[in-house]
Amino acid sequence: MSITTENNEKMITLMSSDGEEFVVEEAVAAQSQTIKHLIEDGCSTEGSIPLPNVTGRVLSEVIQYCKKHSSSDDKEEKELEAWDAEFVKAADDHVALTDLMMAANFLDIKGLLDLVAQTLANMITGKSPEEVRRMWNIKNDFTPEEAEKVRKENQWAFE
Amino acid sequence: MSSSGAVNKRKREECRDYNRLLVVEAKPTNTERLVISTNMTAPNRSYLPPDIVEHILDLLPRKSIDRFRSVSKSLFSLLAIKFDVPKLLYRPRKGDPRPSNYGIKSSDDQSLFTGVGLSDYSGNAKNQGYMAAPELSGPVSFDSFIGSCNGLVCLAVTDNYYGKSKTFVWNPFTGICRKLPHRNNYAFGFGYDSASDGYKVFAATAPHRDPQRVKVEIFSLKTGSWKDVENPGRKYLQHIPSWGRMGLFLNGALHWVHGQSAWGIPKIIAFELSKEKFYHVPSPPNQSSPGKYGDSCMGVVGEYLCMCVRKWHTKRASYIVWVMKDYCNEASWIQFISYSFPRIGDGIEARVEYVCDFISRSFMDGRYMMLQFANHLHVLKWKNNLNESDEAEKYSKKIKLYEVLTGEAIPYTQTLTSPYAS
Repeated sequence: MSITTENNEKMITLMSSDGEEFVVEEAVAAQSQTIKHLIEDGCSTEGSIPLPNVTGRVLSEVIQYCKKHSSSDDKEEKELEAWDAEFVKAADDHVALTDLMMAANFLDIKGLLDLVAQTLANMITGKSPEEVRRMWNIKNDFTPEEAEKVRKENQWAFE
Repeated sequence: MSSSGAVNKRKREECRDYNRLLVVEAKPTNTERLVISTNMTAPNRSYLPPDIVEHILDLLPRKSIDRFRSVSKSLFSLLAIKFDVPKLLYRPRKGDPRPSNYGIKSSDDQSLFTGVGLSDYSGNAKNQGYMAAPELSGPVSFDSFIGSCNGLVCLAVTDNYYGKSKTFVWNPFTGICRKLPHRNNYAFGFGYDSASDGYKVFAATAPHRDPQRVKVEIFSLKTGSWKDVENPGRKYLQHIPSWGRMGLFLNGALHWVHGQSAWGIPKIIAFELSKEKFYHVPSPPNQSSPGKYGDSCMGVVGEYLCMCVRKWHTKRASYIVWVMKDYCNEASWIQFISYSFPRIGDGIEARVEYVCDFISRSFMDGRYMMLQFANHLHVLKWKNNLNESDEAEKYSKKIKLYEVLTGEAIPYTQTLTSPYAS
């Protein structure tokens, strides 16, 4: 659905996987390369753009990010960096960050993808293999002998 | 849906289990995830999707990478492919602007190249040295390599949003990417035709897998259009659906394994790009010793056609790598090297995934052959005197991946060749 507001901003409607609708300025949504291509292909004129991989909760966060980054072209870079730091802090745990990163990947928003990847990388840099397994529920499928061997080969990384 | 589409879909489904590198449980639905991620008492239902794990790994210091090898077999394998193999294959020298490279299709089908083009490899690796094309990033899934030639890579991707398959010719070095006009066919090979001085994509449609109705089409990068091939030769086409995607380019022709048989060494057919005609290429000789032959895989190393054939034994799987020293001369096939290793069991097929050519500068200068058998990656030094297989063994390197990764590999060189070549 294409609506035009008073100040002539073209609006488009995005629909999350759980059916929540978000009306945003086209310029904001077009920060996502995926949505930009869909608009170019004429998808936005036929109603709302469905985003089957993104839930409403995650989408609202993504839109927050896009709004900030589309409106702040001429603002101080430092202010934007501080805002980014607060933004990922608010997402608060690795599960929410993982969801956010998946969405950034699907929607193809490079800035957001890099931001969240860096946050997750910082989060796990000092972690032990056991902690990483717990975080993402990864099963340890090494036999005890294999585990011992791999650990020995990489002993320096545990010191 | 065309039968090629069905093949494509099936292929993707078969690969799906391997593609989920780090997913241990079945993928929860979005709704479940929403609940879980807000419920801190049940963090064990979360998972690390393979689509994004590589982005995170790229940002980690070497020490964390080495520590995380202990996390799981799948992560170990991913890290080995991503960080160890490139280190083994290539370390740049100063002022060496055009290294040879190779590409491996990652098991995570979002990324086209894992461990490729690491022209600035250091402890903290990044996949640089190739340029992502905007058409190939974002929500697309990589289907298959179709071929590579003179620095151009032909590949098929599926648009995740529309589910449409698209064929591209891409120069990873310059990042220039050309989308081929859509045709309801299935590309099988890519090569250079010296007669017309241009690149061609070979494609076919096989409605209902009926050999009588197979249509062969050629796309010329020069003319920018598709053209039907008249009388392509029905007898060559009956196995088209089973060829697999990638035709190997050598001597102006594309080569495929033709008609995989469980008991004998399979036949090889070739399609000459200038004359647009098929012909047979002699296969390696059947050996007199008893045993059942299994799957096989071809590769081109330097100017030679190679074929890796599996031979079944009861307890061990063995592979013989054949090299044709003199093109199309049946008597010139020689046995380059043979391997055998215990069968993996658990119903896992110890398939040979690819045979790939590359040039290494860090691990004994020279030309190498890389083969992946299920969970083993073998790297062999290529000697000019092809009879010295003992030497090849001596200069070989084996990397155990702990887990079967499906993959494809292509050699490619960094060139400025444009996919829009006039």
